[in-house]
Formats: sequence, C-alpha cells, structure tokens
Amino acid sequence: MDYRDLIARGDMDAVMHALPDHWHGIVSVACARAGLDIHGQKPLARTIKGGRAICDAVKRYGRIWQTGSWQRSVGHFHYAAELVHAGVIGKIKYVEVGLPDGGGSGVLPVTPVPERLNYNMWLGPAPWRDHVALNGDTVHWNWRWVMDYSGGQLTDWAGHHIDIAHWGLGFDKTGPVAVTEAKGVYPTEGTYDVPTAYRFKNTYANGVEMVVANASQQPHGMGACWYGENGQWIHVNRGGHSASSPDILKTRLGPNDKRLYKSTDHHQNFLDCVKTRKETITPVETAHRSISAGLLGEIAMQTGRDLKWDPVNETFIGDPEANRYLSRPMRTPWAL
Amino acid sequence: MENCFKLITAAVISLMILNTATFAEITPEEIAKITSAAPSKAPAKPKTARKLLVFNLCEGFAHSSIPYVAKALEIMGEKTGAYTTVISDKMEVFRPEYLRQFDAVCFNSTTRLSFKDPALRKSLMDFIKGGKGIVGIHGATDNFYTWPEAAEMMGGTFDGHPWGGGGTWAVQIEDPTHPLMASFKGKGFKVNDEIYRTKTINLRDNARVLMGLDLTDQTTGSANGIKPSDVDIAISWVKNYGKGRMFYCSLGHNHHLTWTPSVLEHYLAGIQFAMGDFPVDVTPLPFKAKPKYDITALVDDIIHYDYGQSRKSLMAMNEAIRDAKTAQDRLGLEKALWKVLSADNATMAGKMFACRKLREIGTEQSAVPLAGLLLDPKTSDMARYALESIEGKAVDTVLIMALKQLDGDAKIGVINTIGRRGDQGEPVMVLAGLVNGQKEMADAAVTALGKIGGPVALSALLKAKDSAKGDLKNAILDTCLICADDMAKKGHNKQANRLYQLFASTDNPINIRKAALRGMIMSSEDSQAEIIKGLRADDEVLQLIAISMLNTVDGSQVAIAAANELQRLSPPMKVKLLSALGERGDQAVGLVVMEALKDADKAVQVAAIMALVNVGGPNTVIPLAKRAATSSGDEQKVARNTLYRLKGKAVDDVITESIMSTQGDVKAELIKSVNNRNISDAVLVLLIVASDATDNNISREVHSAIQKVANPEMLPALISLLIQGKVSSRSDMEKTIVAVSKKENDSDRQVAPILAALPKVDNQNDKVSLLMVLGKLGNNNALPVLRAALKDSDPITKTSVIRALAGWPNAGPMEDLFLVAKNDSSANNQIVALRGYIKMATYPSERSSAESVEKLSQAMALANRSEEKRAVLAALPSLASKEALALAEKSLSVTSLQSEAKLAVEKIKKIIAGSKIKVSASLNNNNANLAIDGKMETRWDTGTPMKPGMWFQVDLGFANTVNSMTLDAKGSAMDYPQGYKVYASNDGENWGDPIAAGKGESAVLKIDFKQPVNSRFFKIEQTGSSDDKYWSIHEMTIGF
Repeated sequence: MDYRDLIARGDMDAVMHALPDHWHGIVSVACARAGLDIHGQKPLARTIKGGRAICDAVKRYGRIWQTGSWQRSVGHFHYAAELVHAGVIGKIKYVEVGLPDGGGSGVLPVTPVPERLNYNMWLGPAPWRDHVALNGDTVHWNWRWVMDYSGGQLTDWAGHHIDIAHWGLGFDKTGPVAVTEAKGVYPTEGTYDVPTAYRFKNTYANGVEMVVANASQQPHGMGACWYGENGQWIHVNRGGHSASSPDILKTRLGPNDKRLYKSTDHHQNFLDCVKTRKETITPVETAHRSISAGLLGEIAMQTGRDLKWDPVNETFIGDPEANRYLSRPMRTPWAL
Repeated sequence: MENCFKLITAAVISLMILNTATFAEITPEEIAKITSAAPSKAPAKPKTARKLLVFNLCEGFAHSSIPYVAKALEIMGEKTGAYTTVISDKMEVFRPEYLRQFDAVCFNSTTRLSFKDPALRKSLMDFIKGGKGIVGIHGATDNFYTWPEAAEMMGGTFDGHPWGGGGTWAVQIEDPTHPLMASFKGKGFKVNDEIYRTKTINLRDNARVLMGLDLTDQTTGSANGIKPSDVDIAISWVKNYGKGRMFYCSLGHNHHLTWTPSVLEHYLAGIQFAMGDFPVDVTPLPFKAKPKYDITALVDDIIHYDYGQSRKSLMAMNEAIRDAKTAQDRLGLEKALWKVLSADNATMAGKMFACRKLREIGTEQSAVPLAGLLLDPKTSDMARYALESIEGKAVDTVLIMALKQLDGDAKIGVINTIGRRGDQGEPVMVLAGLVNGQKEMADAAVTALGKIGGPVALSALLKAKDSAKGDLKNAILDTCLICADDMAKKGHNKQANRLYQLFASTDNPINIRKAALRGMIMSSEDSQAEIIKGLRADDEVLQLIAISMLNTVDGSQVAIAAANELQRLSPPMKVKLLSALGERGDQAVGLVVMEALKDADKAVQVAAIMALVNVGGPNTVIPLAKRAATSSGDEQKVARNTLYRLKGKAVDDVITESIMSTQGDVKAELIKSVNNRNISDAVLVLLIVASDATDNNISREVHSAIQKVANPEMLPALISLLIQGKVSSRSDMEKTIVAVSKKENDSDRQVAPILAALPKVDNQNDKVSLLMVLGKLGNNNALPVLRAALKDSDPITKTSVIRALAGWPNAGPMEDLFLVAKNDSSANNQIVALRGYIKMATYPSERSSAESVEKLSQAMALANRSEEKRAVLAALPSLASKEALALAEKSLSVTSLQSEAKLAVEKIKKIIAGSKIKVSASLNNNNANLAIDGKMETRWDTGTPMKPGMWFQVDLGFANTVNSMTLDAKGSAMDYPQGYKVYASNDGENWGDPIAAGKGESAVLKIDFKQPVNSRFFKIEQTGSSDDKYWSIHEMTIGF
C-alpha cells in the first residue's frame, strides 16, 4: 500500500512508521503536513538536512512526535542519565559511547524483483541499482548494511546510546562544535558497504568530549559511559548500569535535584501526549540531535578530515565541500 | 663442463659448514624446463661470434641457484646463437692472456671476491674499460668490499635483503619502453625471489636503473626489516664504463627464475648489451617515487566496476580524493572521473560512482562533462546526484538547458534539483509556467518554487493558489507556509506575518489554517497579545493553538496573562491551559492555579494539581496534603506526587512545621511526604510524633519515615524512647531501630548502642525488645549476651532469645540451638531451636559436605515430629552429595516422609549429575567443555565443515533420567547439525539403536526424547554434510 493513499484516507490521528532510513524524511514530512502525530523510528533521517526538514514540518503543523529511542523509557537508563544530569559525579568531561561492531557480509546476486514487491517504490529516493535479495525473499533488515539506505551499526544505534549520552549531558537541543580523529573501516568486498569499525570524537561547546566507536574499541563496550571531573564514572547499557563506586548508584534524587522527563512506557507516552498535546520523552528535535552527532562522524570519516560544526545554523564552518554531505540528491520524482 | 660442476660442488662443500647451503643436483626435467623457457631468438644479431665467461667462485655465501643460472645462460647462448659459454670458478681465468678471448664476464652470484692480485685487478679493469662487458646476476654485488673501484663499477655493494626469497614482491618498471624491459611488456609484476638492498655508489649518476621494488605495494612496503630509508630499491641497471658496458640484475636467488621466460629474456638482452651487440639508452635518470595511486588504472577499474564486485579500486579512489589536499590535485582527480563519464563501455555502477565522487569534489568545470548524462533520461538521476551540490553558474546553465530540453520524469528530477539549489534567476518563470500544467510536473514545480523562495517565486505561487484545486492547492499552501517560515527565520517578521494572515482564513483546510495561526503568533510583534486574543476567541481551534504557543514566548508575563483567561475557558480547554502552564513552570501563576483546585470539574482540578508541581510553592503544601488525605485513586496519586515533587527548601520547612499542627490523615500525608522527600531535618518532629502517636496509621507512617530519614547517630534517642515506654507500638519501634542500625555499614557498630543500653534495662519487656533487635541484626558480638539470656528465669525472655537465635543470619549459635533442642523442657522451644539448627546446617561453612550431612543426620535423630524430619529432607538438596543422597534414601521407606524423601532424592541426583557432567567430542575434544561452561559467547566447534560421523558425547557421572537435550548455536547461527542421531549407553561402549534422530533447522535445536531415558552416557552423532559450515555448540543443556 502506498503511504500517500493511507494519508489520503483522512480518518487517522496518528501514525507509527517502520521504514528503511532513506524513506524517513519524505514520509515523516508528508505525515506532518497531513496533520498526523507521528511515532517515528530512529535514526530520525538519513541526512542532517532531512532531519531538519522533519523538525520544521513537525513544528510548522504543531505535531506530537515520538522517536523509537525507547531506552529513555526504561528505568535504569533514566536513572543513570538522571544521576549524570543532576551532577552526582560532578561536571562531565568525557563520554564514551559504544555501539555494535560489524555489519553484514557476502555478495548478493542480482535477482528478479519478487512479484509482491514494488521495488521502484521501495528504493524511492535512493539511487537506482538492480534488485538483490537482501533477506531471503524480502528486502527487510539487511538494508541497513548499504550506505544508500542506512549507515550501518553507527546510524542504527546512534539513536540509542548517543541519545542516552546526550540526555545525561543536557544536549537534547544542541550538537558538537567539532568532530575529529574520525576513522572508519569500510569493507572492500561484498554487497554491503557500511563501516564495520568506526571511531570519532565529538567536542561540544562546553568542552565535553564524546568518543563514539564500535564496542570493541571502547573500554566499557556497548552503552554510554560518562566520566566526571574527579574521575568518577557511570556506565549504562541494555544489561544494566554500573559506576566507579557502588555508592553512586545508591543515590536517591529528591525534589530539589535536577530531574529528567519520566516515562515508563514508551508507546503509552506517545499516546498520552497525543491526547494532552504535551511534549513526548523523545521529541523530534532531540532525535535530530542524537542522529546528527552520529552523522557528523560519518561525514568526518568520509571526508577524512577534522571538521568544525556550527550547531545553531547546522553547517560546517570553512568547509563548503563537507556541507555537500548534509543532504543527498534524490532519485526522480522524489523531493524533500 | 662436468669438471666445472665438480669444482663448484667441492667449493660449496668446503663452505657448507659456514653457510649450510646445499646444491641440489640439477635434474633433467629442470634442464628441459630451462630449455623450453629460454628465448628462441636473441633481441640483437651478434656482430661477430661472441664468447661469455660465467664465473661462479664464492668466497662468501654460496647460492644454490648458481648452477641453475650458469646452465640457463649456457642454454640461451646455444639456443639463440648469441654467444658460446665457458664456466669457471678459477681466479686464473682473469689473467689477461686468457681473459682476452671473451666478450663479457658474468659474475654469477659470486660472493666476497677480493681480487687480491693487483695484476688480476688491472686485467679486469682493462677488460671492461677497453670495450668489453661485465654482467652481474643476483649476488654479484656482494663482492669487492676492499676494491672500491670495482664496487663502484658494479653500482654498489650488498646491504641486506629484507625482501626474502620466501616472499612475493612487487616490481615497478622505471621506463616501460626501454628495450631491455621488453620481456615484461611494460608492466610492473610480482616476483617470488630474494631482492637485495644495495648500498649504491653513484648509481643514479652513472647508470640507468631499469626496474626496482614497488614499495607502494602493501606487502612489499611493509616487509620485515625494512627501514625508512628504503625508498629507491633498484633491481636491474645498465651503464657504460670506459669503452665497455655493465649490466646487473638482482633477480636470481630462487631456481624457478631460470625457467621464467621474461627473466631469461631480460638476462639475454642485458648480456647482449654488455657484449656490445645491443646498444640501448643508458642515460642516468633520477629516482622518481611511484605515485601512491595509479589513477589511470583506477579509472579503468571504475569503468568496469559493477555492484557486488570488489570495491578495492573504488576505495583507492576515495583515498586518493582524501589525500588530495590542493585544488590542483583535486582537479586532476575530477578530470580523471570525467573519463568514466565519457567512456562508452563504462558500467552504470561505474558512472554512478563517478557521479558520487563528483558530488563530493566536483567543481563548476564538471557541469559540461555531466551535461551529456543529464540530458539522457537513463542517466539523468545520476548526473543530478553530482550536480545538485556543486555551486556555480555553469551548473545552473546546464540545468536550465535540461529543464527546457527534457520531458517526463527526467524533467521532474531537474525541477527538484533546481529547487534544491535555489536558483532565483531564469528557472523561476519556467517553473511558474509549469504550475498549471501536468500534475506531477506541477507538484514538483510548486515544491521547487517554495525552496527557491523570493518575491518572484512567491507571487507565482500566490497567483497559482486561487485556481488550483485539491492536492495541488494543498501543496501550494504548504509551500507558501514554508516561504513564510523562511522569511520569519530570516527576521522578516512583518512580511511573514502578512503571509500567515492570508492563510489563516477559515476557508483554507484546517491543517493549513492551524499552521498559519501558529505562524501568526510566532511572527507577531506582540506574540503575547496574539495568544491572549486566541484564548479569548470563540473558537477552540484558535484557543488550542494559543495554548500550544505559550511555551514559545519568554517571560512570565505571558503566563500570567494567559492564566487570567482560565476562568472563561471550557473545562477541556482549562485542562490544556493548566497543563501548558505547568510545563512552562512560572511560579507567578501559582495562585491562579491553586484557585483552579476549586473548579467544579474534576478533570480541571486534577490538571491544576499536576501543574502545581512546577508552579506551586510552600503555600501549596497544606492544600495538597488535604487533597491527598481526602481523595482516592488517581487524584490522590497525583496530589501525592505533586507534594513529593514541589521544589525548594521552604517547602520542606512548611511540611516539617505543619506536622505538629495537623491531625489525622493530613498529618499522615505530611509524614509520608517527609519520607518521600527525604527531609532529614524533620527527624526530631518525627520522634515526638512517634512517642505519643495513638493512631495506628500515623504510627506506621512515622516509623517508616524515621527509618528513611534518621541516621545511626539517632539510635540512642530511639532506644531511650523505647525504654521510657514512650512508644505507641513496641514492634514498630523494634523494626525502626533495626532499620536505622542497618544504615551503619560496620556491623559491630550497628549493635554497639544496643549492647550499651541493655545492662541498664530493668523492664523485662524492654529487655525482650532489645534482644529481639539484636537477633535481627545478627552480629556475633551480641551472642554472649544472648547466650547469657538463655539462662534467664523468665520463660518469655528465654523463648524470645531462642527465637532470636533461631533467626540468626549465620551459623554462630548453631550448637546453642542444638543443646536447646535436645534439653529444653519446653517442646515449643525445642521445635524452634531444631528448626533454626536445621537451617544453619546448610549455611556456608568450612565443614565438608559430609560433616554437614552428619549434622542433619543428628537433627533427624533428634526430631520427634515428622514436620522437622521433612525440614531435614528439604534441606538435604542444598548439600547435594553422596552422603546426602544416602540420608534421604533412608526415609524412602517411612510412609509419613515418603513424598519429601523422594523429592529430595530426585533433586540431589539432578544436582550431582549437573556437577559431574563430562563431555567429549570426536574433534576439538579440548574445547568440548566450552559447550557446558554456561557462557553463550564461547563454543565448541568441529573446526572443519560438517561431515557424517562427527560426535559429541555427554557422561552424566551416573545413570539419570533425561527428557531432552538442547544444542544452542545462536552465536554461530548456521552451525546447527545438518542431521543427527542420539544414542544412550550405560557403559559408554554399547550404544544400541538411536533414541532420537532428526535434522537441525535453526540455531537452537531442542531434541525431545519420545520417552524419558535413564542412562549415564549420551552421544549426539552428526549425520549430514556441509561444504562450508562447522558444527558448533555454544551451550548444551540437558533436560532432566
């Protein structure tokens, strides 16, 4: 079914999309324009300008937006980020973000397009290439290992652990001022072309440094780990949370501490906000900033140079060529 | 000839001790290979009959290739008629009268030659300077260390070989057109040989280097032992010397080179040059490092690239682009990419790659090379991929041309790209003309005009909007709003506001209208007034928008003004406004929000309570406490949450002060909030309440709050309250003392205040209370006191102590309890003590499991009732051992204990089985344990693709009943057995028929047996085959 037909029904209040990344921008903007509230998936968009277009449309039409960065609605992620946010380990100096290693592999032969698939539509704004069976007889899941559709583990997970790291730091509405020391390992063989290993450093205006890398290059592996000025740290991951000393995790924050938005059910939070018109726990600007911090690293790896970033105007400073990476030309007839 | 070989062999044998080199006898097959590989025709016709002296003497290391090279040179001379050969290793051959018959001398890997005899030195120098030739193969530079003139004549001396004979190294040809290099067809190549590093002597000034190592090759450039100074590693060279000539080639360590045609041909050409038959250019050339990338080759690879193929060349191009720092270098690469665009045979994937790269580094100059692709509908998209982000008029021009020439989809793409680029010039009018045309084209034109913006585009859009209908009209309106947003973003608020007003009219679709209204508020000079206007409007759409825009205006004035409108709104709008005020959090609206607590509508009241979290203050405390005390359900939950989250120390103070002045449920709510807010300053007030609380509810709340906020320093005060009898509930106070004591990390210090107070206590009840507290804390320092109290004449005290000891958290009082169980006059005391004793027998201790079982055995003997006997049986599995099993089995025959005994026996057996499991495998047996180590990340695997007959075996230690086995290969998802059969055995030798068989189908294979099987050994045999998949078991679990 064509998403445009769905929107044209006119009897829906909200939409929850589950699309390959390269489709996020177009569909989200169309939904916002149609007056729908949106539960979108992370990463917000495949490009920084695509993400900004979504933010603008959501704002223009006064829509409620929730992102699938569901870790924010899980108790121990909330607790860890809240401790950091409340200053329990002092001023944060350094953050380590570990995302998964690897990616897909193998050469997928060109195959006939399955009858039930509208391949041209699936490809949408991405450059044309002949159909390969990405996942048995479907195109699901493995699109994330092709740069035209996704950015691999890095962009898949930036909306999780960078998102959490930003949350604790209070960076939901800003971004780094520089991205440096970027290094990606791109496979030379096989259909998949996303980096299988990656590492880069984001520096923020207040001097906080965040090193994002695949887990095997990080001391704490997967997750987010904040380091305070006195060397104390808090680490959080799907399995749980830990800290440089157990006392840190006994902290119970009170009414006079800086607290973070609380949700215990990510989907319910969206539905509640659709009704109350309050902001969700992961609004669109937040999602945009979370993935931007990953996409900036992607661009630094691709250009092979250190980049200066203006998080207000969202352009690279003094590097017009790097600015070309902020959007991608779209295949006919798509435009955003 | 034969003599020569014998001599060589003799010389080598004498050196073998030093060099361990052995000469293999050259075989007839090898001679045949050499003969066949030798060129059949010489590159030059000899001017006269030529004679070559091949000299083989080694005073240093002797290469085993020497006889091979000698034989090859001889065969080449014969086969082509270029020369005849004499082979020798005698210094005498350099005597002038003998030497003169030759046209050239070949030093065939001779080593450490010193030419001590000056006459012979002179003879050799006269020979070459007088017009003859010298040829050097491989080790020929490893000579003349004491004869500088000859060393320079050779070009230098040997200086190690980081590129050993076992490796394969990349060679680059310096001048592909040089006649001596003809055999290599002008192309670099890889060779498996030992390559010398030469300490050159004026080599680049006097000789033409023909080929050298290609150190940009990763293997060659990173060979073991390589130095930073290894840049120019020459392999072959030629030079004039006096009237004569010299040719050297360092290839020739490995035998196979003598049956490599290109190498033999190179040798022959070099020999003919040295003999004077083949004049070639010997002009020295400086060393020129090979560029890191061969762009021509890369372009060729890109032209032929297709999806799915290796991207090595693509990545090399990426790297070249990253390395190109100057505009000139980048332009060079840009131009190279044009070659892909214009190549007739370039693949679509190749062209697309070129376009991707031009998107990254292309300049205006790429506009024309891309134009051809742009105008072809098949490649138009990819051309736009490059052009869209390249700035410059030239690109605009090409796009306008395409806009005029193209039609259909390709034209839509061009329109999109023009929109993205925001060309405010010529295209605007063309696009404006398209808005009334074909639908898809019109849509694209509208979007593009919106992106371009500016007065011309905007007026075109505004003009089009009136006549447009349906989707197109919506698109135009949406686009106009985007233009207005852009204006506002740029600070042109007045203009933007006029535009928004235009779209806010009620005849526009509701979404557009709402967005326009939002825009109007945002761009207004007085946003606050607009918001208030919206709230006052008799239109809920406007009201809602006004509310949703509240948080876009700074300063609390707007909140106050909005709050004042609260009363005129409908209840649902009140709820929304209260919630928005709460989100903003201006304390200035606190009073208005508190007023709303009295609203007639329940939902409004709840919204007000929620909003107070951020706008309420100290004066909100009592109303909230009252609300919490008088409501239930969600309302109560919300009221409490607000009370617990109100900010500020002043709030804490009001709560604390109000506790004494309030009564009943309100008081209880305030105490609850002390607990939740962790107000430690409130502890004294709490103690007062605790001392005279008569209300059970309040007593419970106050104790819970004390437990939370009191620190261990308060313990003496708490104890004295207890002793003075100033407690409403003794058991609550005991719990509180225990809880506060436990906040102290040091266990000895936990009990110290109680031990200090105990001797002063007269009242029997107080004493019992404190003893009970000591029992809960379980610190061994308290044991002597408790033991002493066991002798207390008061039966209540005694019973309390026994209970305290029975609940002790470690086995400290175990023997005391045994004695009580054995000797106490009260049956009840006996039972309590015995139960404690049984429990303690299972606590971790230094006893062996057998000794612990003995303790339980004693308990069994002591127990009068079957309840305690059953408790013993229930405790046995935690000691799972042979002895425990025996003890449990004893009770199997006792009717009243049968079912517990049976259960215990089964449990013990299972546990023993688990700890005794041994595994083995037909392959990688050492790693078999990794399948039962409890770690999913480790695995046992076959290390080779699956073949029938591979097996994995389990020994349970003794026969046990097994229902299923699960083989988990999740970490190596495809490595499940292709097929399997399971066998069972009691001796590990006789297996019988399979008890289960089947096929693995996914990462986790659960094999359910048709019926439970009682056996000690189980074997899983793999029965299928795979070409590439191993059999892996990350974790195996046995289903008992």
